[in-house]
Amino acid sequence: MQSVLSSKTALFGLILLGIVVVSALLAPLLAPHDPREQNLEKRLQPPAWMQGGSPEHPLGTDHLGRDILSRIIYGARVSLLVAVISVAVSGTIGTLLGLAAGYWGGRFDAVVTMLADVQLAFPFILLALAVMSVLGTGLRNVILVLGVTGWVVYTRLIRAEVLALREKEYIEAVRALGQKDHKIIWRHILPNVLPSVIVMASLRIANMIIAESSLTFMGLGVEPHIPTWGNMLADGREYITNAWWLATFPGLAIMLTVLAINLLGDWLRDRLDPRLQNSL
Amino acid sequence: MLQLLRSRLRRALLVILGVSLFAFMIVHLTGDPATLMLPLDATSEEVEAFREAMGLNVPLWQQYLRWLGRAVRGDFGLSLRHQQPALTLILERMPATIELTLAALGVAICTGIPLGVWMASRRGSWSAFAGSIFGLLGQAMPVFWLALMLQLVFGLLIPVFPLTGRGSFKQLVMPAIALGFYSTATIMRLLQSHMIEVLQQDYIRTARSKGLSRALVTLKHALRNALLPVVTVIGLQLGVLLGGAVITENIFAWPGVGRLLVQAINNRDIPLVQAGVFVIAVSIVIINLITDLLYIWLDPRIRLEG
Repeated sequence: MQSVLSSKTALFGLILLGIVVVSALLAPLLAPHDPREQNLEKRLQPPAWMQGGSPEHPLGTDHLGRDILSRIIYGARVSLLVAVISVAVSGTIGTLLGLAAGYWGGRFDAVVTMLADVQLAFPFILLALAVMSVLGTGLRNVILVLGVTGWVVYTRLIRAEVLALREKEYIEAVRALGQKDHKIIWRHILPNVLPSVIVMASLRIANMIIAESSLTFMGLGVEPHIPTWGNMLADGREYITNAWWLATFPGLAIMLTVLAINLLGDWLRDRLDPRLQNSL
Repeated sequence: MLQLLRSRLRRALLVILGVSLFAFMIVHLTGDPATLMLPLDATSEEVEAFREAMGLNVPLWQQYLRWLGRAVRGDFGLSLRHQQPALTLILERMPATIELTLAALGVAICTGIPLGVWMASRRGSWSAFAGSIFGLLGQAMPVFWLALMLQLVFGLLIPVFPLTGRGSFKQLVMPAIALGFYSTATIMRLLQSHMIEVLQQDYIRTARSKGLSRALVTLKHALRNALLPVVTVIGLQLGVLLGGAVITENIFAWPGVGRLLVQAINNRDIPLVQAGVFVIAVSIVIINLITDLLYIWLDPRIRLEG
């Protein structure tokens, strides 16, 4: 019963995420309009099913007469791009540090743990906002900030696992056979921690999507002229009193995407590494 | 026990030192803080005079030591915009932020714990399924979007609560729910999984077979043990909430540190940013330390060992 239910939810997540990924990849084909095309005569048009709406703009238009549906479809590109690259960067940095700190221990481990503790003392969004304000806004800097600041969760997880693995007999055995450290890590330790890395990375993609949209919403993320969910919500906030659809639909897009990723991530965790159930 | 306490304290102090280094380094990320703080059309003489006045011409480590020496005494410099001591400005706004954060934590605990217990004891039922959907949605919703939707529904469509501001209880309701919702979902899901685990233990079966009622066993025997790991998470959630407050305060025009900080960030008011970032980070270190100690104190296996 439980497994059927969980695979059903995973299937739902897969379909949902599939829609988002396809939208992002085929945006120019799927979007009914150019996401940047302005038409002031048609500004703040409500969704098609409401009075005053037209099927030409299924989800309505924004304050500059741009098509909301098209902007959401294009917005998926930025969200996924930022999330995937920053997770790849932070996952790589975090895993390498975790492997090294856990395997060699000693002073290096102390420094890494210390750095992790220091970084965890800063609320992520505050850290990102402060750094963005100094570096300047823009897509590249968002990826940079999210990529560089996201390592801690991986390092802590992998370090703890390596500490346990290091004591295992088979590791001692290969060490006794004279195997070099980096080969032991590469061949015998990394494959054992990889499932945890994959599970963590999949769940972190969701966090990164929320982080990017939050930064952009606060005006310190992706440039305002690029159609993103965060930018749409920032616009929508200004018009919340008279045009609810501006802020509602992009938020729904974020929520459903994050939900899809979390569902898949949970399923992946149960499949690959049930031990993580309570720690992630 | 005492030794453990001492090592935790020493660690916290080290972390605070690291935090100070980072707060100091923020300005130096791009190289020259003078160009960051001065208007773009400043002449090179003005830049030079500013560098001289701010002590930017000495080596970085000397600047840091000087900055740290002053920071220890609570002197983060004058806010560039408000022309008042940065720390005073931050501390003035602190009560509002603490109020919001605690209210949000209250929301999260008062809803997350009962929901988690209920879902664990009704495992497999439709209501538990509905609960898990609620939890999944709660964790998928960005704080700022939930805040906007609350404003839309309960501020505009059915105007029960004021849209923004601070002062009355009614004004606290929406920001507290928006901020606390994610933590509700986190606490609920975590407690549920721990409860399910605990409810399968032998001693629970023993308690049940003694003829104790289901409610008593669930609440007294199971919950007390399942809550232990939740304590740590609640401590961590406080840090998450303090961070989330930065965004929530801005949407609800809540006059706290978060709102002041975002204004400072937009104005490039560096001393104010440094003071704010430092104060928040130190608060989080202290909260984590307390959580740690609370956990040790609550778990007799650790408490009695040392």
